[in-house]
Amino acid sequence: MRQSYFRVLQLITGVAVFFLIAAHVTALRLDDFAGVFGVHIEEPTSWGSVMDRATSAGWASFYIILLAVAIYHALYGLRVVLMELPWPPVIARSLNYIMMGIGIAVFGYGTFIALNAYYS
Amino acid sequence: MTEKEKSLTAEELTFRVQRYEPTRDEKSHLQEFVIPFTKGMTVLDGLNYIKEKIDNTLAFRTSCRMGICGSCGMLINGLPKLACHTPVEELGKDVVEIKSLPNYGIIKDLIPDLIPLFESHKAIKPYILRSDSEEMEEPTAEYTQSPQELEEYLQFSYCVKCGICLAACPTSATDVLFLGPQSLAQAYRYCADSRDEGVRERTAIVDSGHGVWLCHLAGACSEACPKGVDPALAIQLLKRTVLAQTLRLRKKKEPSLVAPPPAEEKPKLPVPEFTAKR
Amino acid sequence: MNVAEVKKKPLKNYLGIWGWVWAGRYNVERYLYTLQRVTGLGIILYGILHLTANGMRISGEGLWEDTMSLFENPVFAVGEYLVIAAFLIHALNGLRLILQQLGYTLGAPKPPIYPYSHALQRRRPIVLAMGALGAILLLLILIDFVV
Repeated sequence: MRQSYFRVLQLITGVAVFFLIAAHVTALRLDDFAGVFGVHIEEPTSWGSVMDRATSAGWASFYIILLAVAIYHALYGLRVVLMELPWPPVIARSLNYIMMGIGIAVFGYGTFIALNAYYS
Repeated sequence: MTEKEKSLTAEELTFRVQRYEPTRDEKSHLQEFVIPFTKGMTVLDGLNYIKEKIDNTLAFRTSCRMGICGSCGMLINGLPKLACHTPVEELGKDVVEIKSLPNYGIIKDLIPDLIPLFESHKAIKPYILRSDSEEMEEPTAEYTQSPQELEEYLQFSYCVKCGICLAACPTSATDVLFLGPQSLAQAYRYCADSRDEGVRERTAIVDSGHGVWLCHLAGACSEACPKGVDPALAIQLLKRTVLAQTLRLRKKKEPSLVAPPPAEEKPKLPVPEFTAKR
Repeated sequence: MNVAEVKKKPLKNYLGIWGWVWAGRYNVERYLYTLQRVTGLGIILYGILHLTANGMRISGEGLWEDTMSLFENPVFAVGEYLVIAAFLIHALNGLRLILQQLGYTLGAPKPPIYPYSHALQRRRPIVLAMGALGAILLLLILIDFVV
């Protein structure tokens, strides 16, 4: 496949992941910033708060979308870095598939955890 | 007194020159030469002095000694430059370290192996591609081009193929297969030419794994370019062209036409008498 | 060694991975490239850690609270700040790169008249503005962290 299609996705996910992670970090870690936007979460890392979020449909889908977008963006970036290294031809040829495999595995793992908590 | 002024008064310069003799050495080493300083001398003048007066086994490429042929690209005090375009005074030091261009092989001493550069330059089809092959084979007239259309690519056509941009490029530092700033900039130079119809063909070459998308806009190529070609700008514009081509957003533009024959013969100027008589 | 052999095997002179990091005194964008790469890889490392730690919830409340109490160490607070800083640098520089890599904000080609300038150099204010914005945000986040 043409590299530009991957690249366009990289640019789109880049912008998306910027807003998603900014929202994620602001809501959960930067309480003063979150207060500006009218969001307030008590003790975001306590078990009760985590489970509250994990069992709400909005938060669960937010996490899954963030995971998918971030994995694509990260693995495309990593692939570009790895592609510039002098690999033996076998690895160079299968690099795309290795990356795809890692991506699907990590996404599967993350989604499993999110859905497991959602349905518990 | 600033550094620059100090070197002005120095009477002797130390040239540390990289030496590598392929039939004998496993690794390259630096050799020191002490040469007299003359006002306005360039690094190339110093190397020529060494070759003429001290050690005639020193090997380096040079030809025009005025920044036109692009033969004498070298790593001078850690930055790739044309030796003929670099006055010693500008370096501000009386110790000058000269090495072969990095990101190439070394054939001997200061001679880089530029074959990969020329191969990738060849790969992007650096010539006008047209669909009217009959006209290309047996031209009847020139293709028309307005000054505005010329300016679209004129800057990028000043490339002298010295290979300095690849020595500066961080991607070329590890990736041997990367096309490199030089050929990518030249790909844009031909794609932007109003006479050319090869965007599709070149997109297929450039839009590959080791093609245009391994440029990350570090901008070192433009900084290093001794001719002001600005390869970084050309590559970014090429990226836009390639994206527009693959996503089918590119506006169809007819290539420029063959110049029409002049409506009437202009009266020829009379040949001056003194020429005719001779 | 005969001539043909010599021709086949010129001495390798590539800068290698160190050439990504440092290759001489170049313009600021050259080192923003390095920073983009380092922060990107750093965030991937953090992401792996983050996913592993968050995966602990699957084993129930006990292990979760144990893991979270581990992160109360101030070393992790500093680490978190560094990750947010890396994210911010990567994001701001990334937004600039998205625009500039599509040829926007760079301007049209200019005839090379001595002294030469290049497009990135002429657009240096964009980098400076991004840097200023990043510094202000980093300071605000630091205040948020400490307070």
